[in-house]
Amino acid sequence: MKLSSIALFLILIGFMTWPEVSQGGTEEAIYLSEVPPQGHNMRHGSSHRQGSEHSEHRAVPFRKVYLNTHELSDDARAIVLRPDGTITEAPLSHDEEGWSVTLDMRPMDGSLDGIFNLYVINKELRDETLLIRIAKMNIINHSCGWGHKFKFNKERLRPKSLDNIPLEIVGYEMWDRNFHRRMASGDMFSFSVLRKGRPVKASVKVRTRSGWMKSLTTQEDGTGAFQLIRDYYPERWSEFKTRYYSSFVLIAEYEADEEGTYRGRSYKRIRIITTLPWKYQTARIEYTSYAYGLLIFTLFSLFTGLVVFLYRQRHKGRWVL
Amino acid sequence: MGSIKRLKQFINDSDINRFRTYFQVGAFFLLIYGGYLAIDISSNMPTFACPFVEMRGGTCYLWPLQHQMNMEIRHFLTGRGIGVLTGFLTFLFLLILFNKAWCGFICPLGTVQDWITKLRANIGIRYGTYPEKDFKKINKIKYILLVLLILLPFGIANLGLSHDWATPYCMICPSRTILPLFSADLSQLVIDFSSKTKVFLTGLGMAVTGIFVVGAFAKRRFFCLFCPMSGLQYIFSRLGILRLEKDGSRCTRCGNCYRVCDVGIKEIADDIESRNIVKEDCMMCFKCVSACPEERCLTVKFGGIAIYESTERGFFKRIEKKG
Repeated sequence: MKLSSIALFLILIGFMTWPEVSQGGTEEAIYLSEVPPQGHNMRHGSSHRQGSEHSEHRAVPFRKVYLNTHELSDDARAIVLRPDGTITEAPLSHDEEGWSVTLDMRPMDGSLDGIFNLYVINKELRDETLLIRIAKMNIINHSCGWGHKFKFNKERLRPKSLDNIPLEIVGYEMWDRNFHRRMASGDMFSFSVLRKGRPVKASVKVRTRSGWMKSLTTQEDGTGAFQLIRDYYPERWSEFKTRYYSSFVLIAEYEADEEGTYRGRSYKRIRIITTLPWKYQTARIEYTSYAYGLLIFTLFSLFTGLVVFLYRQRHKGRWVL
Repeated sequence: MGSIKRLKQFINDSDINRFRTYFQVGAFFLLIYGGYLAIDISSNMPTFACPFVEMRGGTCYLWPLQHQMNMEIRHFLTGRGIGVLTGFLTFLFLLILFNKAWCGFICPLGTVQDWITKLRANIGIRYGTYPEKDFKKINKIKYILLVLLILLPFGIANLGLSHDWATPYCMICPSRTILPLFSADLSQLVIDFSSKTKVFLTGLGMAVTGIFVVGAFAKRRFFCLFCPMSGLQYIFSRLGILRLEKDGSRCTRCGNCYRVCDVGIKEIADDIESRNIVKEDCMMCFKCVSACPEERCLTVKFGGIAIYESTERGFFKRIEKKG
């Protein structure tokens, strides 16, 4: 009886962990990161080198972002949708750190205050399947010195997509009106998956910096949502930093029987993997207390009231009219 | 009588306090809810347009000033230095325009204090006046706060101070805890345990809030005596084109002006030498002008043009109205 219970328990554990072990497209996915990966095809974020990440309060004329791969096909492209709606291409370059893209954020006069969408699209033929891998990144281009003049501009604040991207994840409520990241642990991250600008049902995986994973499937209208876990547990409380950003990458995958030719070779099936990384902070509720706040408020109110009362009593008739 | 003269008489006869009350309500709504109307007056306002109010219609200059001071010395001479200068010049321009009337007519925290005073009066608790010498001792605190709010952020970039000191004044300012409440935002009423500095600053912030509420109840415009914005304004107030002038030869030293003064400025009654009567704690509410019975003894001028004057006729009209 005892042995059978253990066996049943092990089988259940096996079923529960199996989808996570078989990670589908996650290992093939390409994604963009602000810091170069130490190695390649390693888990998202676990391989960050020491280096500073982008400040979202200060604008810079150029931003370099890194791909997690050394292997891109010759016709890989980096497309940029700028905050003002214009579309450009960015140069891809390769060195010992892998592929990277340098984004031109100029002019630095505040006219491009907002969110850049960067897409790196890589196509290759595997057997009779066209594999399209897309790495998307939303990059904040903002300086508080520009004066937050677009804070009420709905068009500038709206998450944007491009109709010619084979598969794209569009995240919602990712930044606030001042173009600062606004997500925190405990928040629901909602998104849509679009196939050439139209909603599509796709399987999606979420992977956080620490390796936590979650799988979900989008609705028929392409939407999906998941709750951001707290993914930051420093060894000691004294090491806790409120400005620490946990990160995750969303990986959406879509497959269909579609015939066509790519570079003169025909294919019968199409498989698209697209990614979107983002960052979030630990929720304030994890390290703040209303109870202590109100306690201090009450104590000081009572103390001040007592001081005023005694002062008035002492100076009765002299200063109190 | 010419129409200009009639208009002047109408203004001089009017009750500035009533006008001020309405103006304060309008300014309060503009600065707290202006964002809903896509209004953003300036990020360098010489008043407590608190940045912790999400849909505010402008931002207090002390917020960008503290951020800008968190900069390495060498950067002050680069493009970022131009940003600091632009911010300061915007602040100065707005200050020159309305001088310290930003405090008396526009400051939302000042308005809240006036509402607390009205509440006290309505529930029948007597107001208190306190000896000037007691307040003289403590009202230098505003300059200490002003120096600290510049030096502490400066120390982050240049002396390796913790980033938790980035906006030290905002952390203890009662605007941060009180004004968001008008947007149903209670999130600032907390103690932040993420670091010792944050515990200290947010704890002090809640303590100051407690002192503020009781203080405003006991003493009119209590917090204005410690306000670093008031100190910063006073440094440049001589440049203001809105001025409060006194003709000492017409003053009988009756003391009416001192008695109605919310911040208890004694010089307004005693000083018969100075022409410019805007003193350190003055918030240019012009209550003194409406309480003065002497013809043109106190005059409010905008760009050299008299816009509100004390008159015997106006004084008695206001007395009659109040019964």
